[in-house]
Amino acid sequence: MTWERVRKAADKLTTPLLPDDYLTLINPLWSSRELRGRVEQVIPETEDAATLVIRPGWGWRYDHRPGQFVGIGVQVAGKYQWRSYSVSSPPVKSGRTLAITVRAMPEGKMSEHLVRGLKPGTIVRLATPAGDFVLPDPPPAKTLFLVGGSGITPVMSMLRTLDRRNTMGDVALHYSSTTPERMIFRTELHELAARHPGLKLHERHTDTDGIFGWDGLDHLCPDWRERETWACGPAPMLDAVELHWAAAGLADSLHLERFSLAVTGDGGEGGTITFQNSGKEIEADGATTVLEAGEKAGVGMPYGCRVGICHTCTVTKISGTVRDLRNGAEFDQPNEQVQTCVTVPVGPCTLNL
Amino acid sequence: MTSSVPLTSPPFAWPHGSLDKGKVVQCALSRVCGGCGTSLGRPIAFLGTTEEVDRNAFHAPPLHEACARALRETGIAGASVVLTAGFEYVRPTADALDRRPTFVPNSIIGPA
Amino acid sequence: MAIADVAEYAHLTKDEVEQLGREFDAIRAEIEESRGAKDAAYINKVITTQRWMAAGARIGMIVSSPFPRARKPVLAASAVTLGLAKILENMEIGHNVMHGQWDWMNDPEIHSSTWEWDTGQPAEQWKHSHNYIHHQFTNVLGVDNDIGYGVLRMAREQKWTPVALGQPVYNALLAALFQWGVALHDLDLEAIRKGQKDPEEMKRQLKQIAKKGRNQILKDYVLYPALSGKEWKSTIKANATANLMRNIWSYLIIFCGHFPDGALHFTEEELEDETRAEWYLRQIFGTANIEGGPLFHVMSGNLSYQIEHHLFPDLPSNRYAEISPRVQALCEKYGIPYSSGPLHRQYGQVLRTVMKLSLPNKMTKDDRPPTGADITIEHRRKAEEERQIRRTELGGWSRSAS
Repeated sequence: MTWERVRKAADKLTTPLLPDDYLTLINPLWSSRELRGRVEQVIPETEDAATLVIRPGWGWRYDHRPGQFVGIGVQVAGKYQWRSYSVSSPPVKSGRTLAITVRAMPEGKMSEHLVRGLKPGTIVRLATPAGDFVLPDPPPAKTLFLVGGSGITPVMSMLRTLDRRNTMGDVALHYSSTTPERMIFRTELHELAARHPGLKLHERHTDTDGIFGWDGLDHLCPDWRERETWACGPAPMLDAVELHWAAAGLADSLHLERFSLAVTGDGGEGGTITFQNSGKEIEADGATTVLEAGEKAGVGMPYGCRVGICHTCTVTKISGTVRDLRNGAEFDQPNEQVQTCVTVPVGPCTLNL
Repeated sequence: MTSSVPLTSPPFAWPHGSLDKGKVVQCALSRVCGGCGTSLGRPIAFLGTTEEVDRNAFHAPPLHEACARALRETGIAGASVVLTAGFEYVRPTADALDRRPTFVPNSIIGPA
Repeated sequence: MAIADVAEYAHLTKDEVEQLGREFDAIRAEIEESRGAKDAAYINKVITTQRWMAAGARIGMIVSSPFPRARKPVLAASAVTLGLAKILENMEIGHNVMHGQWDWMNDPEIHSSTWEWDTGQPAEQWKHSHNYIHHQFTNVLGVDNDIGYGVLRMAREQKWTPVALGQPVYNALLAALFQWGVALHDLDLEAIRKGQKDPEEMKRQLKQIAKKGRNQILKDYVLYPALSGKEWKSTIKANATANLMRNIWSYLIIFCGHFPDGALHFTEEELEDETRAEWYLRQIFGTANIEGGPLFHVMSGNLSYQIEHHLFPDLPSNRYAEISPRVQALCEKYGIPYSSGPLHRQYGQVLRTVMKLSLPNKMTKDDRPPTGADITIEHRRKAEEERQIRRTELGGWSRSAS
């Protein structure tokens, strides 16, 4: 916190820029103005997929939940292009890197660039982890993962987490891919299965075995109805899974992640914001930022740029959830620092003001 | 970035219920929002009909994302919102049947 | 004298004007199409260079303070470097970023909506007074406040009063204090003098300016001098020198863009229904270029390509150089004057106008080509109801508010 204070004081020396704008001259990662990262390694996984190991810069908190995705912004032909990819590394608080695994899609200029065109050392922009396709902690006793193709990436993060924490339990993984060669993480999965007797791995190679029919599920995994299920893969597969689970009246125990999930700055639902110290309260809709709501309520809110850059407006949220309008990321932890100028309430929340 | 400055009433660029030419130019050049009249943010949002989205040219001036959402509800300029980092301001030509300036997003981020 | 009908003045038919417009459109489309990695690398390099220069200069001033023998040369070099850094920041970076020239990169750190520049005027006010008023109503008498900056009489159509006799002095003061002249620009001094300014709006703007100006002054004249210990006085001097350099230079470039004899004035007719082609034409007639080498162009923010900038204010500035010969060729083809000259000649004409117009019209001769309408304009911003309503509610523009 003292370092933060020093940087804040230095602000007066660098105005109208931030100290970070100068620090990045020395090391491009020394800035919390925008989340940045440096590509440390590009590890080929299959012929058309690679894992990017990224070292995040200042302001990154290594607290993504297994299964979440991050936004990554890469300059292609001078333009920053943003895509979201599931984090494949497990969350490690003391970590220094995070990994995402990308498959080059036909017609996918960006994924192609990430897999084949990105050189180690490249500076990329990052967006905070988001998404609710996550594994709870502690994990359920019985789990089923249904994976198609590169849908393995968020699931891999979950499996690695279970492995790290030694909480694997009873896990069934059904993994479809066109050929064994195109199966990302195949070797690692085999190792995991060998180490954890509770992990049952079913591979299906659709080029030779054909597409899986869901009526075969009873045979493959007779107790699927008792399992908490996570499914990630191409849209037709997910549609089929969704129908199958709905038909069994088990929609609640199914978690889906669709690839095409776009990160948009969707507003929150709104809610009542309580300012603990002043005792004030105000009802805010999903388009009103916490900052604006506070100002309306007559609370002396700190603010600076009002656009999410300077962090002057950051306050402690004691409870409740707010959503970042820039990337849809939700902050739902107690006593969390939030930027009031770019967040909206999602349900009731309380601020330490 | 979405700023959610409340819309002025009536909206800045629609002072009499329809688009005001002068205001449209001001929004284009001063880079202020057609909904609330304050400095634009990132991304920049354009509100229009599906036809305007398809040809990537909008009559309504640039907006904050939140203002675009709010205006979408009013039905004042169509129901589709497109997000972009930048735009070109295109003045009308003499032979154009439609003598209104248009805005062409040049770095589209996506729909909203 | 001022031009009432641009096309008529240019002796072009409506069709020819539209044809010319299409040719400019083609240039624009080509540049838009080819914006890419090279352009992005250019602006990033300029920004990096500028920040190293500024940081180096500031550090030089501080670390040299305990060493009497090294102090003088280091301080002098630092002052000049800082002046150059400020010039680069204001002109090639700030001015152009705020026009949206780099928005297409989708880089939040180099974007018109977030850029705040190293000068007294808040970015938001600049985007109104410059991007909108000046670029839309370029050289339109009574509307474009850049004509004399509300201080000088720069057109014969502006009414003469004995106050104008002091012009040579005001001019020198404006050059030396240009950053503050610009800071007050969007207040519209003429309107204030005439009592036409909305007091609420004025208060809001003044507050914004005071907040930004305070930070600027604090930095240059309190904090950095304080860091130089006993040598605080010489650091103040060095910073003042850097600001003065920037002030005079930006004044020169801006005045040479619109006040040499080749840049003409307009009356407010026909603006409402102007087509794109007519707008292009008016921009060429109202603007003048300055000739020089590549470094000169960069240091002027490529505003030495003022004609190209006015035709395409939001195309990346590094591309003006390649557009320039094509614009010139088109001007030749259509018989339109392309006003350009070296700095000394362009500024010589500006200075002559400043001097001459300090006197009543009848005592001097007009140096501009005859243009038609002989009128006298009093400052006339649109009446309150027809004028753009400025927003009244705004958060702090400044990131260093708290």
